[in-house]
Amino acid sequence: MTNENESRFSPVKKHGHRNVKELNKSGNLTGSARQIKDGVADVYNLIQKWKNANSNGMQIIDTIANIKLQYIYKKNKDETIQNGSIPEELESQCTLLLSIIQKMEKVVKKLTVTTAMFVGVMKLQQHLADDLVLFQTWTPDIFVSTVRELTEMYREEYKLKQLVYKNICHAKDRNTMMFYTSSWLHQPYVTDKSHVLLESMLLETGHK
Amino acid sequence: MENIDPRLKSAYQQLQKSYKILQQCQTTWKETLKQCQEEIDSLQNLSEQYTCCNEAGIDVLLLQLPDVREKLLYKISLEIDKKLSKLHINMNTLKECCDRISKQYDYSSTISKGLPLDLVTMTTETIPAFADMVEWLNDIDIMLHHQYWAKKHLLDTYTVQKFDSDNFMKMWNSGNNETTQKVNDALCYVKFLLDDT
Repeated sequence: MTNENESRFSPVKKHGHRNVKELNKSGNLTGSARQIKDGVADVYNLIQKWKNANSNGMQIIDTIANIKLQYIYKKNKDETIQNGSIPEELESQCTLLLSIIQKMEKVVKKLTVTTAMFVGVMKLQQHLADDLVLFQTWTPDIFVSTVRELTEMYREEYKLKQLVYKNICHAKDRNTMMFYTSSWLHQPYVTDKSHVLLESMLLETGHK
Repeated sequence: MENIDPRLKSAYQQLQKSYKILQQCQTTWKETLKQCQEEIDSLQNLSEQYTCCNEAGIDVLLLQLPDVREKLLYKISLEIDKKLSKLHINMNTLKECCDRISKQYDYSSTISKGLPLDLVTMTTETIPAFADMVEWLNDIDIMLHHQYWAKKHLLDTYTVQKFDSDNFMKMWNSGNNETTQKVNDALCYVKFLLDDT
């Protein structure tokens, strides 16, 4: 009776034939899985770098906003100050902000390179027509679309940061200044979805 | 307290319990309001950001990023929602305090109805009349409920477009001092009763 049952039902297997414990042993991975797992770690590290740069930038933006607002207030009282002139002490702050912007640019560039790597792995896997699920449930094209979406978010956000950097010293009133400060802080193009995307990739590849 | 009528003695015991609960609620109430204050400060700041960003002239940015204002306002709204939900959780704590005091008042007032008038109105050098103590509890119960509903209404009717910071703070803080004073006074009057265990 038992033998009959065994021949009738095949045991349930997970896609990829690996269990989660195995996945956590990163040393065992080779080939595409290795590339993807490392790629995900890179994405995570790059986003952490972006976050650090953003919070350092926030302090500089605050300082710039304070200097600028005091200046606008002074200008309203004292009519001898020329229109469109910029206080000197802003220069050093702008240099600092530029270095932050450059760091962010690097992050976006590296994210783009990582996306290209993911695309490469996807094409290779499709070419090999091998088992497309490398980890638990995701196929390489899901990794590509996820990383691509994240990169797009940060690229758009970088554009905004660049515009803020170029224009913040020329802000004419408090509202505009508040817009620049607030947009730096809240990062409108990096939505809450970015967190979910990143966490899902980390979970899928066994980093978490 | 040894020589008093046993019926009054058990009534005093109930009141002791009620006022001890009031002491606990007073601490919780204060702590919750302190936590609320932090959230309200953030709420004020976020509302100001929303208004400024909505009115700011940012043509330079809009040329290259036409949806930037819309996206930023959306993100600020999300933050505002987070603050409001935290405040609503704090409101639930305040409601729990109100309900505990209401329950205590109900118990004490039921007991007072079963006591003869001379016992209910009897005072000693250290303990006020039972009727008075129940009445203070009732006053506090009403004041706390009033405070709770006023604050809840203020949060329920909050909209970022119609937010007036000064008015909001004025309404949020209105009656706080009176309630604190009333609770402190009542606890002061019943201090000997509470110490007498």
